[in-house]
Amino acid sequence: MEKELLLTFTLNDEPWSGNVDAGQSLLDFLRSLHLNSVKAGCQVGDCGVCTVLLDGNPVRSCLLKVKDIQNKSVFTLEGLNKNGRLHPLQESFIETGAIQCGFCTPAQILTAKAFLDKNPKPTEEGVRSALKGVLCRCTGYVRIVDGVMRAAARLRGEKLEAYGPLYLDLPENCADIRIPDAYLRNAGSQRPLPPLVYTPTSMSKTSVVNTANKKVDAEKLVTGKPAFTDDFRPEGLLFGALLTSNIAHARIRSINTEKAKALPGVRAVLTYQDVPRVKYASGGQSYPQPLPYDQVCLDNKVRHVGDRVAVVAADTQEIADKALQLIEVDYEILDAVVDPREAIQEGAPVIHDEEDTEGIFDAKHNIVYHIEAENGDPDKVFAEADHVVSGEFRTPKQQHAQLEPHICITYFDPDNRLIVLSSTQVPYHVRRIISPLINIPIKNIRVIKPRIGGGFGGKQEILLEDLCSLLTIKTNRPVRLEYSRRQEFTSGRTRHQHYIHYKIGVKNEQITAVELKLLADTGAYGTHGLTTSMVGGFKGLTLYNALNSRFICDVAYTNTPTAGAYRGYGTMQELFALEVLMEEIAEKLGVDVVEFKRKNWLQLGEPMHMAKKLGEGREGFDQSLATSGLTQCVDIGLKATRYYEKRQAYKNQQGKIHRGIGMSIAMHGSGIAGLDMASATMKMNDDGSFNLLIGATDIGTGSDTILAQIAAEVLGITVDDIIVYSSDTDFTPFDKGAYASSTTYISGGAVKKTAETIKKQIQEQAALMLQWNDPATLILKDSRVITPQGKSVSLKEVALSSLHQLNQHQIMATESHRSYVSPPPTAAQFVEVAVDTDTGEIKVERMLMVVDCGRVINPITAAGQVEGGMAQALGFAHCEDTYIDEKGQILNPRFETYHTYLANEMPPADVIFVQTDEPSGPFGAKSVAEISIDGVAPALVNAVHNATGAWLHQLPLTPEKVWKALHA
Amino acid sequence: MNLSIASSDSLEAIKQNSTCPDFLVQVLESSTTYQKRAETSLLSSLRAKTNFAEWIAALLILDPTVLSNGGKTSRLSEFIIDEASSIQNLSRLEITVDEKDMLDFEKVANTPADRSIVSVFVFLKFVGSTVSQARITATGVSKSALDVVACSSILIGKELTTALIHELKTKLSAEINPPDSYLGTSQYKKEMAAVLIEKIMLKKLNGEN
Ligand code: FES
Ligand code: FES
Repeated sequence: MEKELLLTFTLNDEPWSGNVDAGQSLLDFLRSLHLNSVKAGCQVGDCGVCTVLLDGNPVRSCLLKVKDIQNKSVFTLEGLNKNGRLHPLQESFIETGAIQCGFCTPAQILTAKAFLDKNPKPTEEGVRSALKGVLCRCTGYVRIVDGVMRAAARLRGEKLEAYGPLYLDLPENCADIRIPDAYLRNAGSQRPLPPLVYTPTSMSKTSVVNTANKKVDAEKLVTGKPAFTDDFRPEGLLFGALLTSNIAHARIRSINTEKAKALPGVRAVLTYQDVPRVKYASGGQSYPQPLPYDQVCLDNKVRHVGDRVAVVAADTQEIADKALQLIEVDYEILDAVVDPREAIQEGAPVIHDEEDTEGIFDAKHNIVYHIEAENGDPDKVFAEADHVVSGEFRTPKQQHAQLEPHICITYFDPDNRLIVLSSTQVPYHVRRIISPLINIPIKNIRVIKPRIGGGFGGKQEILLEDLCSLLTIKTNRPVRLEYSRRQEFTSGRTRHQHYIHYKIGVKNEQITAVELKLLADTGAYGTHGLTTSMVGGFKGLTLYNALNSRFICDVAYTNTPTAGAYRGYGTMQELFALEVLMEEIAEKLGVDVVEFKRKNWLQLGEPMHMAKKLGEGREGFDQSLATSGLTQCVDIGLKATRYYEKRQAYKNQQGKIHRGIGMSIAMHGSGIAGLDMASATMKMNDDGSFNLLIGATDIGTGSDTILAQIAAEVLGITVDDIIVYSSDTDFTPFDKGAYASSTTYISGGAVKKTAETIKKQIQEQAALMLQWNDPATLILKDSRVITPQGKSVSLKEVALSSLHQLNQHQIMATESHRSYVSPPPTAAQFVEVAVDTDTGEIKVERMLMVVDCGRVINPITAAGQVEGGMAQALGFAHCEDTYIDEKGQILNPRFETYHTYLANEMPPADVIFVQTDEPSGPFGAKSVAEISIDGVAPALVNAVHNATGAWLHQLPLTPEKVWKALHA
Repeated sequence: MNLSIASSDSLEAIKQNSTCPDFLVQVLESSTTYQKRAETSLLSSLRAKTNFAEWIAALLILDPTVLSNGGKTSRLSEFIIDEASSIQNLSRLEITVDEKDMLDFEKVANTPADRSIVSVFVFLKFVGSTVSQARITATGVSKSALDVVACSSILIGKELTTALIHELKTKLSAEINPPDSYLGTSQYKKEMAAVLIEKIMLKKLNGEN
């Protein structure tokens, strides 16, 4: 304790007084009072999610000390609805869908409150500027800004119209499509627009599905109730801290932990000498994970700055952090290689020289995987082509930058079973993968996933759970272990950096052959290297589906932080290169690029030539395209942006600011064909409500809500009568987890099957009650079971009857679902830019994505996925990269230096849905989470080309790169 | 217009002050967040050159009078540039802005709201059409957080012309020595400093600021 202080201040309008540690941060102090709405995202002042109000002004509680609030007034989100009623800001955030993961929500609301208190009639620009100090990685700020503007109107007492999507019929002929004026953005308005949903008149009607149901967990999140891992701290908790390497490549000669162990309050220090050497791979994937298993919990070698060295548990976080500084590590420093192009050369330092790793393709040359796949005879067809065009591209090492760091709490329950509370996308994989590492059988491990504060693939890895468990085993005490924000950058995962070479042969404007050569940088460990590359290869060769295709890929180790799963998963890198090269080819041929693409893109019913050859880490399955709204997506986008008119107008511009418009198309997948499996359990309660137990993990996507909507649609009830619980390996059935755009499609399929089984059971029970002999003809509607003649019983009566009276049994079911196809959602992306030709700066003026994701289960949550995806993709394309020097040190390991788009610079990100009815999907749904990220980069590059004539092949488009291209 | 700021005033209070010049409001908006402004007093901002480089660069071209606790008056530049000076003695800043003076800034950044790679701040006072006073500050053009650019002296006593602007650009490029960094190469930053100063001056020449 720095110095004890008698603190007197006002907390949420109530006086507070007591003795405190004067040097404690305000953030830690408030959280120690169980004010869980106050979040820790970086603890160095960069993210703003710890914002509270001090005398009415927003401040970052991580930067203030307790002594700074003496005699002042502190206000947290908990103070906002003391009378049990939601504040207009909270109501509006729920209505507009401003909450995705919810981790930034308290800070957004408090900042907005401070601003609206002084500015009751704000401009949208004012709101954006006020919010720029609180990062949100999920939403692209679209619905947040809308929520604040709506709250301002509500606070002024204005009458508000119901908030929701705009539904329009989709005419047979695209030429007849009417685009509402607002979506043309002719007046240059920036105002967020609700999603526009076009539906073919032939599609069946639904009543719960395809509505903007409010999120089932919205109220919990908007009031800052305990929901996230760190909000559940058991008694007697110890605090863990991880010592990571500050050297990129070294052997550990010795580690001296004596001083650390001697520090009062330290309960355990573990190094490689203390834990068994069990090989594993940290990627949370289905069994069996692809080889190599090139990791151990703690090793005697470090392979990147940020690699694990030792782990400590102590009575307080301060003691644990101090103990790390007392650990003496004697390193034998080895040469490091940070560039994958150099890593695979003869004579490069060998990163995995250990003898016990099996399955590295060529360890001596740091090539962890080599993949080759071919269809047809590409060489022959290239030789016969009218044109062969090739291009080299490079994509950045993008960070996930989710606001909640990786965090885990472990403890033993009274039965001596290990409880692992973890912010993970893959609870079942965590349980399976850590079991051998900690030597506890699966049956004695229970993984609970509380709310996740953003994942985007980064939490599809086992990063802390093993170490935290080992500390609990060592101390027999609960332990909490969390990455610092810096460790998120150095020890977490990133997107794979790709060096891409495409060669495309064209004959009579038809793409006849494609060769894709890929060098992927996996960093220090293999984890998702194989699967991301195979997915990238498959998608990158399937969008135009040339009969003659070849994929050659090396995945290289480097002494850099490990790459892993990241929304877009290989696909976005390859589609970036492909969609830019397509534009270049069209220009060379002198043809319209849209028509050129239209002639070549994958058609309905067409077999995907590489589907079998490039599965995900294994052989795939034959697939073809069953539904596609791509034609309509493109046509609507062309109209909504006035693409051709602008393209023409932007030719030969004068002046320093040049405008441009670009487009791209995209296809993704929905789950992993033949591999992903999900299940769901439902049971009926006495009052006719249902528990829906799912292993699927809502990482902010709204999946808990849409899965409830699917069940409600089947059962003829509202979502209010479904209580969703997710996920707990003891109580919820297996689900592979949230990745590969699988939740709506695969988990949704499981929920639909389960609800259908429940429906059957209800029909049978109701038939007994109604003495009706054909149960299948009974209709479930408005929480009643109705005969064709109109006689009915309520679901409550059915429940009571089944539990207490007639044919007593629990109405309950569990069903599983998998699919041998992965139907692609399709989309057209448009980006408009202004380029300053003097500086190379790009200002993005509008993004529009027109998406076919099958039937849209919830247009507001789906639009949120698209908006947030576009925002992340914009970062990838424009400003985000991890800069690493030749010694392997990251030069920008914090949000201050790693810039993600802020509220006051986000362009309009408009979303239009074109519904299709995918026969294999629940109610016709496909996926939406990942396609949203695929199209922005190429559309941006194409827009810059339209504006300036320059081609840019290396992302992100920093001003210097653009400027150099313009002044080459 | 006169703006008097106490050392304990928060940057947000300064921004809300009705006599705060638009120029300073814009600099605060562009280079800080609501939270940062609410937490930071004038005094703390002046102590944190790296974190508040653009704000200080903007203040410097206004050449405020510093009132010290002991009653002494001096110029802000003495406090900022002279590392040894004791900034904690600062009591108030007095800023006087004549509406006819030119105050402007430009920056180049990865995205519109990202921190700047290079930024340039210019103050010009005119007697008739002749420049009588000129002050130029910049960030990102050397190893230190911000710089007072000496080449402004070539403007004094002259009318603004494209030839003079060109001369200023050339002088500025010669004067600065930005380091390479992941934000940009030295060459790019040098070029940008020149581009930005030209932009500001051309706006003035064309009556746009
Ligand atoms: S946790 Fe305080 S700013 Fe990030
Ligand atoms: S909702 Fe903002 S960070 Fe997730």
